[in-house]
Amino acid sequence: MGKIYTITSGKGGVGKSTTTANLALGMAIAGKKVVAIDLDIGLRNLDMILGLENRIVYNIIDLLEGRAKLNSALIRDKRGDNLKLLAASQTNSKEDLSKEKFLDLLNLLKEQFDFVFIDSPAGIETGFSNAFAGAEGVIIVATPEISSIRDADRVVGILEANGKHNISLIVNRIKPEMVKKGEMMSQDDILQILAIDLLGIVPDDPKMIEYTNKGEPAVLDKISVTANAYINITRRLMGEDVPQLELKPKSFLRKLFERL
Amino acid sequence: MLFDFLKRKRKSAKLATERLHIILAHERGMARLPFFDDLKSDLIKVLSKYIDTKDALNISVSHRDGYDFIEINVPITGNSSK
Ligand SMILES: Nc1ncnc2c1ncn2[C@@H]1O[C@H](COP(=O)(O)OP(=O)(O)OP(=O)(O)O)[C@@H](O)[C@H]1O
Ligand SMILES: [Mg+2]
Repeated sequence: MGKIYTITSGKGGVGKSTTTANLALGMAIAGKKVVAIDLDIGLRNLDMILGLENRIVYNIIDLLEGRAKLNSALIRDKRGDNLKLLAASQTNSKEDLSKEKFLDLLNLLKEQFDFVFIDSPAGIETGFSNAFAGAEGVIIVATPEISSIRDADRVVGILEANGKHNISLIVNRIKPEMVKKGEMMSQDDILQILAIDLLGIVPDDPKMIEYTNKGEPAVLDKISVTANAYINITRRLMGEDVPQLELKPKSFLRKLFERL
Repeated sequence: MLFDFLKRKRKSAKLATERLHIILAHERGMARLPFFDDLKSDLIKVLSKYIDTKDALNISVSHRDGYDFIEINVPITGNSSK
Protein backbone atom coordinates (compact mmCIF):
# COMPACT_ATOMS: atom_id res chain seq x y z
CA MET A 1 0.00 0.00 0.00
CA GLY A 2 1.35 3.40 -0.99
CA LYS A 3 1.58 6.47 1.20
CA ILE A 4 -0.17 9.70 0.42
CA TYR A 5 1.36 13.03 1.40
CA THR A 6 -0.17 16.45 0.91
CA ILE A 7 2.13 19.45 0.61
CA THR A 8 0.52 22.61 1.91
CA SER A 9 1.37 25.95 3.52
CA GLY A 10 -1.40 28.45 4.13
CA LYS A 11 0.57 31.33 2.70
CA GLY A 12 1.12 31.30 -1.06
CA GLY A 13 4.40 31.35 -2.90
CA VAL A 14 6.50 29.71 -0.19
CA GLY A 15 7.57 26.76 -2.32
CA LYS A 16 4.86 24.06 -2.21
CA SER A 17 5.06 23.20 -5.91
CA THR A 18 8.85 23.32 -5.96
CA THR A 19 8.94 21.01 -2.95
CA THR A 20 6.39 18.61 -4.45
CA ALA A 21 8.31 18.38 -7.72
CA ASN A 22 11.63 17.72 -6.01
CA LEU A 23 10.34 15.20 -3.49
CA ALA A 24 8.42 13.30 -6.17
CA LEU A 25 11.35 13.21 -8.58
CA GLY A 26 13.81 12.45 -5.78
CA MET A 27 11.71 9.46 -4.72
CA ALA A 28 11.48 8.26 -8.32
CA ILE A 29 15.25 8.46 -8.71
CA ALA A 30 15.56 6.42 -5.52
CA GLY A 31 13.54 3.70 -7.24
CA LYS A 32 10.08 4.28 -5.84
CA LYS A 33 6.95 4.39 -7.95
CA VAL A 34 5.53 7.87 -7.52
CA VAL A 35 2.64 9.97 -8.71
CA ALA A 36 2.57 13.73 -8.25
CA ILE A 37 -0.86 15.35 -8.34
CA ASP A 38 -1.29 19.03 -9.10
CA LEU A 39 -4.42 20.03 -7.19
CA ASP A 40 -4.04 23.74 -7.80
CA ILE A 41 -7.01 23.64 -10.18
CA GLY A 42 -7.04 26.69 -12.43
CA LEU A 43 -3.39 27.52 -11.75
CA ARG A 44 -1.45 24.61 -13.17
CA ASN A 45 2.22 24.80 -12.19
CA LEU A 46 3.81 21.49 -11.37
CA ASP A 47 4.01 20.51 -15.05
CA MET A 48 6.38 23.36 -15.87
CA ILE A 49 8.58 22.87 -12.81
CA LEU A 50 8.97 19.23 -13.88
CA GLY A 51 9.40 20.14 -17.56
CA LEU A 52 6.41 18.04 -18.62
CA GLU A 53 4.04 20.72 -19.89
CA ASN A 54 4.23 19.53 -23.51
CA ARG A 55 3.09 16.05 -22.63
CA ILE A 56 -0.24 16.93 -21.08
CA VAL A 57 -3.31 15.78 -22.93
CA TYR A 58 -5.72 15.04 -20.11
CA ASN A 59 -5.95 16.48 -16.61
CA ILE A 60 -7.40 15.40 -13.29
CA ILE A 61 -10.86 16.80 -14.00
CA ASP A 62 -10.97 14.89 -17.31
CA LEU A 63 -10.09 11.78 -15.37
CA LEU A 64 -12.59 12.29 -12.56
CA GLU A 65 -15.38 13.13 -14.99
CA GLY A 66 -14.71 10.05 -17.09
CA ARG A 67 -13.38 11.74 -20.22
CA ALA A 68 -9.99 10.06 -19.82
CA LYS A 69 -8.70 6.71 -18.64
CA LEU A 70 -6.23 6.56 -15.78
CA ASN A 71 -3.38 5.47 -18.03
CA SER A 72 -3.78 8.34 -20.45
CA ALA A 73 -4.19 10.93 -17.69
CA LEU A 74 -1.02 9.86 -15.90
CA ILE A 75 1.80 11.67 -17.70
CA ARG A 76 5.05 9.79 -17.85
CA ASP A 77 8.17 11.61 -16.68
CA LYS A 78 10.68 12.15 -19.48
CA ARG A 79 13.53 10.95 -17.23
CA GLY A 80 12.14 7.57 -16.36
CA ASP A 81 9.24 5.29 -15.69
CA ASN A 82 8.95 5.75 -11.96
CA LEU A 83 7.32 9.17 -11.86
CA LYS A 84 3.89 10.07 -13.20
CA LEU A 85 2.21 13.46 -13.14
CA LEU A 86 -1.50 14.07 -12.87
CA ALA A 87 -1.95 17.64 -14.08
CA ALA A 88 -4.39 20.26 -12.85
CA SER A 89 -7.04 21.57 -15.18
CA GLN A 90 -6.56 25.14 -16.35
CA THR A 91 -10.16 25.86 -17.28
CA ASN A 92 -12.01 24.66 -14.20
CA SER A 93 -12.34 26.14 -10.73
CA LYS A 94 -11.52 24.54 -7.40
CA GLU A 95 -15.21 23.76 -6.78
CA ASP A 96 -15.37 21.54 -9.87
CA LEU A 97 -13.45 18.77 -8.17
CA SER A 98 -15.67 16.15 -6.58
CA LYS A 99 -14.22 15.14 -3.24
CA GLU A 100 -15.80 11.66 -3.33
CA LYS A 101 -14.40 10.86 -6.76
CA PHE A 102 -11.03 12.24 -5.77
CA LEU A 103 -10.90 10.03 -2.67
CA ASP A 104 -11.80 7.00 -4.81
CA LEU A 105 -8.96 7.87 -7.15
CA LEU A 106 -6.50 8.11 -4.26
CA ASN A 107 -7.51 4.66 -3.07
CA LEU A 108 -6.83 3.31 -6.53
CA LEU A 109 -3.46 5.07 -6.83
CA LYS A 110 -2.40 3.78 -3.44
CA GLU A 111 -2.54 0.25 -4.80
CA GLN A 112 -0.34 1.03 -7.79
CA PHE A 113 2.23 3.46 -6.39
CA ASP A 114 4.59 3.65 -3.43
CA PHE A 115 4.10 7.37 -2.89
CA VAL A 116 1.48 9.91 -3.89
CA PHE A 117 2.37 13.59 -3.46
CA ILE A 118 -0.42 16.13 -3.66
CA ASP A 119 0.50 19.75 -4.35
CA SER A 120 -2.20 21.92 -2.83
CA PRO A 121 -3.33 25.44 -3.64
CA ALA A 122 -2.51 28.37 -1.35
CA GLY A 123 -5.12 29.39 1.17
CA ILE A 124 -7.53 27.52 3.39
CA GLU A 125 -10.57 27.43 1.11
CA THR A 126 -12.28 24.58 -0.78
CA GLY A 127 -9.20 23.39 -2.60
CA PHE A 128 -7.32 23.02 0.64
CA SER A 129 -9.76 20.67 2.37
CA ASN A 130 -9.89 18.50 -0.77
CA ALA A 131 -6.12 18.35 -0.81
CA PHE A 132 -5.67 16.94 2.67
CA ALA A 133 -8.84 14.84 2.84
CA GLY A 134 -7.29 11.58 1.70
CA ALA A 135 -3.76 12.06 2.97
CA GLU A 136 -2.20 10.18 5.85
CA GLY A 137 0.65 12.65 6.10
CA VAL A 138 0.63 16.41 5.68
CA ILE A 139 3.83 18.29 4.93
CA ILE A 140 3.75 21.97 5.72
CA VAL A 141 6.17 24.22 3.86
CA ALA A 142 7.09 27.47 5.57
CA THR A 143 9.76 30.09 5.03
CA PRO A 144 11.51 31.84 7.93
CA GLU A 145 9.17 34.82 7.74
CA ILE A 146 6.58 35.82 10.30
CA SER A 147 3.63 35.82 7.90
CA SER A 148 4.48 32.36 6.60
CA ILE A 149 4.84 30.93 10.11
CA ARG A 150 1.67 32.55 11.34
CA ASP A 151 -0.26 31.04 8.42
CA ALA A 152 1.39 27.67 8.96
CA ASP A 153 0.12 27.73 12.54
CA ARG A 154 -3.42 28.41 11.32
CA VAL A 155 -3.13 25.45 8.97
CA VAL A 156 -1.87 23.17 11.76
CA GLY A 157 -4.88 24.21 13.84
CA ILE A 158 -7.30 23.42 11.02
CA LEU A 159 -5.64 20.09 10.26
CA GLU A 160 -5.74 19.00 13.89
CA ALA A 161 -9.38 20.03 14.16
CA ASN A 162 -9.97 17.71 11.18
CA GLY A 163 -8.26 14.78 12.81
CA LYS A 164 -4.97 15.02 10.92
CA HIS A 165 -2.11 14.52 13.32
CA ASN A 166 0.69 13.30 11.09
CA ILE A 167 1.96 16.79 10.32
CA SER A 168 5.57 17.67 9.64
CA LEU A 169 7.43 20.77 8.59
CA ILE A 170 9.84 21.70 5.84
CA VAL A 171 11.55 25.02 6.41
CA ASN A 172 12.29 26.37 2.95
CA ARG A 173 14.60 29.16 1.77
CA ILE A 174 16.91 29.29 4.76
CA LYS A 175 19.83 31.67 4.38
CA PRO A 176 22.54 30.38 6.73
CA GLU A 177 24.49 33.65 6.58
CA MET A 178 21.50 35.60 7.84
CA VAL A 179 20.64 33.03 10.50
CA LYS A 180 24.17 33.24 11.79
CA LYS A 181 23.93 37.01 12.09
CA GLY A 182 20.60 36.74 13.91
CA GLU A 183 18.76 38.38 11.04
CA MET A 184 16.67 35.34 10.15
CA MET A 185 14.86 32.86 12.38
CA SER A 186 16.56 29.48 12.55
CA GLN A 187 14.72 26.20 12.07
CA ASP A 188 14.92 25.70 15.84
CA ASP A 189 13.20 29.04 16.50
CA ILE A 190 10.46 28.04 14.06
CA LEU A 191 10.05 24.55 15.47
CA GLN A 192 9.73 25.89 18.96
CA ILE A 193 6.93 28.17 17.82
CA LEU A 194 4.99 25.68 15.70
CA ALA A 195 5.60 22.61 17.87
CA ILE A 196 5.45 20.07 15.02
CA ASP A 197 8.07 17.61 13.77
CA LEU A 198 10.82 18.79 11.48
CA LEU A 199 10.90 16.85 8.23
CA GLY A 200 13.73 18.84 6.73
CA ILE A 201 15.28 22.13 5.73
CA VAL A 202 16.02 23.52 2.29
CA PRO A 203 18.40 26.40 1.63
CA ASP A 204 17.50 29.48 -0.34
CA ASP A 205 19.06 28.69 -3.70
CA PRO A 206 19.64 31.45 -6.27
CA LYS A 207 19.83 28.74 -8.93
CA MET A 208 16.22 27.73 -8.34
CA ILE A 209 15.09 30.02 -11.12
CA GLU A 210 17.46 28.30 -13.55
CA TYR A 211 16.13 24.89 -12.57
CA THR A 212 12.59 26.10 -13.18
CA ASN A 213 13.57 27.79 -16.46
CA LYS A 214 14.89 24.50 -17.74
CA GLY A 215 12.19 22.31 -16.24
CA GLU A 216 14.85 20.30 -14.45
CA PRO A 217 14.23 20.32 -10.69
CA ALA A 218 17.10 20.99 -8.27
CA VAL A 219 17.22 17.38 -7.13
CA LEU A 220 18.73 16.45 -10.53
CA ASP A 221 21.73 18.71 -9.85
CA LYS A 222 23.24 16.02 -7.68
CA ILE A 223 26.26 17.87 -6.34
CA SER A 224 24.25 20.84 -5.09
CA VAL A 225 23.39 21.38 -1.42
CA THR A 226 19.77 21.83 -2.42
CA ALA A 227 19.61 18.41 -4.10
CA ASN A 228 21.06 16.92 -0.95
CA ALA A 229 18.47 18.68 1.12
CA TYR A 230 15.66 17.10 -0.91
CA ILE A 231 17.31 13.68 -0.91
CA ASN A 232 17.68 13.92 2.87
CA ILE A 233 13.93 14.51 3.11
CA THR A 234 12.98 11.67 0.75
CA ARG A 235 15.10 9.26 2.76
CA ARG A 236 13.33 10.29 5.93
CA LEU A 237 9.98 9.76 4.20
CA MET A 238 11.14 6.27 3.25
CA GLY A 239 11.60 5.58 6.92
CA GLU A 240 15.37 5.95 7.16
CA ASP A 241 16.77 7.50 10.28
CA VAL A 242 18.98 10.20 8.74
CA PRO A 243 20.37 13.22 10.57
CA GLN A 244 19.15 16.66 9.57
CA LEU A 245 21.23 18.48 7.02
CA GLU A 246 23.51 21.15 8.39
CA LEU A 247 23.53 24.37 6.47
CA LYS A 248 26.69 26.36 6.88
CA PRO A 249 27.32 29.89 5.74
CA LYS A 250 29.40 29.87 2.58
CA SER A 251 33.07 30.59 3.05
CA PHE A 252 34.74 33.42 1.22
CA LEU A 253 36.62 30.97 -0.96
CA ARG A 254 33.48 29.10 -1.89
CA LYS A 255 31.74 32.32 -2.89
CA LEU A 256 34.72 33.26 -5.03
CA PHE A 257 34.76 29.82 -6.59
CA GLU A 258 31.08 30.01 -7.49
CA ARG A 259 31.61 33.30 -9.27
CA LEU A 260 34.13 31.75 -11.64
CA MET B 1 21.51 56.91 24.30
CA LEU B 2 23.14 53.74 25.44
CA PHE B 3 19.64 52.29 25.64
CA ASP B 4 18.94 53.21 22.02
CA PHE B 5 22.12 51.54 21.03
CA LEU B 6 21.21 48.33 22.81
CA LYS B 7 17.78 48.33 21.27
CA ARG B 8 19.21 48.64 17.82
CA LYS B 9 21.58 45.79 18.54
CA ARG B 10 18.69 43.46 19.30
CA LYS B 11 18.57 41.07 16.39
CA SER B 12 15.48 41.04 14.21
CA ALA B 13 15.17 37.24 14.29
CA LYS B 14 14.75 37.40 18.07
CA LEU B 15 12.14 40.08 17.70
CA ALA B 16 10.26 38.01 15.10
CA THR B 17 10.25 35.01 17.44
CA GLU B 18 8.88 37.06 20.32
CA ARG B 19 6.18 38.68 18.21
CA LEU B 20 5.10 35.30 16.86
CA HIS B 21 4.91 33.76 20.33
CA ILE B 22 2.55 36.50 21.45
CA ILE B 23 0.26 36.61 18.44
CA LEU B 24 0.01 32.84 18.11
CA ALA B 25 -0.80 32.35 21.79
CA HIS B 26 -3.67 34.74 21.20
CA GLU B 27 -4.83 33.18 17.93
CA ARG B 28 -4.70 29.64 19.27
CA GLY B 29 -6.77 30.75 22.25
CA MET B 30 -9.31 32.30 19.89
CA ALA B 31 -9.50 29.07 17.95
CA ARG B 32 -10.26 27.13 21.13
CA LEU B 33 -12.88 29.62 22.29
CA PRO B 34 -15.16 30.12 19.31
CA PHE B 35 -17.53 32.22 21.42
CA PHE B 36 -14.80 34.70 22.22
CA ASP B 37 -15.92 37.47 19.85
CA ASP B 38 -19.47 37.41 21.23
CA LEU B 39 -18.22 37.33 24.79
CA LYS B 40 -15.98 40.26 24.05
CA SER B 41 -18.76 42.45 22.71
CA ASP B 42 -20.99 41.53 25.65
CA LEU B 43 -18.23 42.41 28.08
CA ILE B 44 -17.72 45.76 26.38
CA LYS B 45 -21.46 46.45 26.63
CA VAL B 46 -21.46 45.78 30.37
CA LEU B 47 -18.24 47.63 31.09
CA SER B 48 -19.31 50.70 29.18
CA LYS B 49 -22.32 51.08 31.46
CA TYR B 50 -19.92 52.01 34.24
CA ILE B 51 -16.76 53.32 32.68
CA ASP B 52 -15.55 55.07 29.61
CA THR B 53 -14.29 52.21 27.49
CA LYS B 54 -13.67 54.18 24.33
CA ASP B 55 -9.99 53.63 24.15
CA ALA B 56 -7.37 51.13 25.17
CA LEU B 57 -9.82 48.47 26.26
CA ASN B 58 -7.97 45.23 25.80
CA ILE B 59 -9.61 41.82 26.04
CA SER B 60 -7.55 38.88 24.98
CA VAL B 61 -6.99 35.18 25.43
CA SER B 62 -3.72 33.75 26.60
CA HIS B 63 -2.51 30.29 27.43
CA ARG B 64 -0.32 29.49 30.44
CA ASP B 65 0.36 26.38 32.47
CA GLY B 66 -2.22 24.38 30.57
CA TYR B 67 -5.07 26.86 31.07
CA ASP B 68 -6.69 29.46 28.86
CA PHE B 69 -7.02 32.86 30.46
CA ILE B 70 -9.31 35.63 29.39
CA GLU B 71 -7.48 38.80 30.19
CA ILE B 72 -9.33 42.04 30.53
CA ASN B 73 -7.38 45.24 30.83
CA VAL B 74 -9.42 48.38 31.27
CA PRO B 75 -7.49 51.53 31.99
CA ILE B 76 -9.71 53.77 34.13
CA THR B 77 -8.93 57.29 33.09
CA GLY B 78 -10.18 60.58 34.59
CA ASN B 79 -13.49 60.35 36.42
CA SER B 80 -14.16 56.68 36.58
CA SER B 81 -17.74 57.10 37.76
CA LYS B 82 -19.31 57.93 34.42
N1 LIG C 1 14.60 26.95 -1.83
C1 LIG C 1 14.34 27.93 -2.69
N2 LIG C 1 15.31 28.81 -3.06
C2 LIG C 1 15.04 29.78 -3.94
N3 LIG C 1 13.86 29.98 -4.52
C3 LIG C 1 12.86 29.15 -4.21
C4 LIG C 1 13.03 28.08 -3.28
N4 LIG C 1 11.84 27.42 -3.18
C5 LIG C 1 10.98 28.05 -3.99
N5 LIG C 1 11.57 29.08 -4.62
C6 LIG C 1 10.95 30.00 -5.60
O1 LIG C 1 9.83 30.61 -5.01
C7 LIG C 1 8.81 30.83 -5.97
C8 LIG C 1 7.50 30.19 -5.51
O2 LIG C 1 7.67 28.79 -5.46
P1 LIG C 1 6.46 27.78 -5.70
O3 LIG C 1 5.76 28.11 -6.96
O4 LIG C 1 7.00 26.42 -5.52
O5 LIG C 1 5.56 28.18 -4.46
P2 LIG C 1 4.07 27.72 -4.14
O6 LIG C 1 3.96 27.66 -2.66
O7 LIG C 1 3.73 26.49 -4.91
O8 LIG C 1 3.24 28.93 -4.73
P3 LIG C 1 1.63 29.00 -4.90
O9 LIG C 1 1.08 29.29 -3.54
O10 LIG C 1 1.44 30.15 -5.84
O11 LIG C 1 1.19 27.68 -5.44
C9 LIG C 1 9.34 30.24 -7.27
O12 LIG C 1 9.86 31.27 -8.04
C10 LIG C 1 10.41 29.28 -6.82
O13 LIG C 1 11.41 29.10 -7.78
MG1 LIG D 1 2.10 26.10 -6.24
